Amino acid sequence: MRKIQVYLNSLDEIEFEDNTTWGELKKYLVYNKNYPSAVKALDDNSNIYSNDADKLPDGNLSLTLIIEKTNYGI
Amino acid sequence: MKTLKKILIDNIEKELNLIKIEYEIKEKENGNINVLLYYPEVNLNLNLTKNDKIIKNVYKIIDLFILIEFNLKNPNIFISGTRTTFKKKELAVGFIHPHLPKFSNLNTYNSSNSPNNLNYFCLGNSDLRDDIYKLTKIITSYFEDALVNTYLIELKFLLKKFFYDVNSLAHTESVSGIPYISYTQVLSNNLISINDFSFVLNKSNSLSILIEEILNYIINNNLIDKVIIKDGFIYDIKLNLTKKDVDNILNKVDLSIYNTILLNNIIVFNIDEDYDNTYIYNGRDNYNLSIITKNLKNGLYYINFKDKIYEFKIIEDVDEKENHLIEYNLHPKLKQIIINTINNNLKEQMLKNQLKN
Repeated sequence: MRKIQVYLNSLDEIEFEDNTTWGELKKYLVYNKNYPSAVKALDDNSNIYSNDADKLPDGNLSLTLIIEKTNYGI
Repeated sequence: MKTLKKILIDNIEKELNLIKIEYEIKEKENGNINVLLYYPEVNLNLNLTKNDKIIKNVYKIIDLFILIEFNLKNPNIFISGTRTTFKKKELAVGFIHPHLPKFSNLNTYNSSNSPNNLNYFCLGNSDLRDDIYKLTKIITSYFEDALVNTYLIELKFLLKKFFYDVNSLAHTESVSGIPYISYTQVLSNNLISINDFSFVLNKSNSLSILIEEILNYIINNNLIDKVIIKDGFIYDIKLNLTKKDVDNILNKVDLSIYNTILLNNIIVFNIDEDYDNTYIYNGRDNYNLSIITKNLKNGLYYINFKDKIYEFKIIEDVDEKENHLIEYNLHPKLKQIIINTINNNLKEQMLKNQLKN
């Protein structure tokens, strides 16, 4: 198990298995932690994980979640 | 120990290097931080779902500058911008960016309707607005000596999100060209929309006639696509308007009623004035703000970015596929007034029914 820091509206830390995808983490956050469904995650190096099949790097990780509410006007 | 300013600058540099945006950071004498971003080219993206089909448009705009002011003294963050290179068709309609106000005069310096001054981006109800709120809260807490470690950790994440969202703002086309103008409208060269009525919105005597006309037209032609009801009253309506409908409404309304208003207001009318709430005016550092300079020798305006001069210039149009879709919509204020009118009619009807019973 590794630690993943997750930031959406506040900072959270979860324990999660290695060798997992963005889709698996997203599902875990929505169903186990009541997070709204994010469309993307950015890691420390601003790599973007947007497809469910995108593999997350192993080991400890920091992720910023993006919901993508882009209604600047209409 | 690092000051907040140093922490901010370090993190800003780190994030902008990671997402590979050209930038210049200037520390102001009063302690504020100005970050100027430069995009040589921006692909404006529009992903729109219409009748279950996803319509993707990509348009290219040139030489976009975005200024982000981190005001530490009176904690706030301001995002403004302009461009220095315009295609002829953009110039014809005063287009700078889908989320920046239109301009009417290229040669007026320091006027809100000129690209030679920076205007605020419309942030609407976006993630970016939330980011600014949270970042401001952290900056405020620092000066109230309440900055705790968790806030500092949060700052790192927030700045990452903030610059991701600024980048997204730069690349997002407007769906309906409200409150400003979409690139789709620039291409179509067809700017007639009910937006044009906004100049009469504050004139109550004319407004009631106008609303009646529009409301009748919408109801008689069955143009309400979807109605969202909350607590028994209409909360929002989605309209199915076409160009023909807009023309018909314009033709139906006797514009002579508005002649006086037209004469008095249309020349100086600026739609932005209706949108005070999309800007944050308080606490902006106006001192030595402008990044735009006039060359006294040739009279041309320019931006100096990383010791390179970017002069305001006009280029020839390039062919762009008009694979686009125009969504007509009502001016949001007008739409709200119409919803209120329908709701008041409903309330009146309900009251009459109750009295009958």
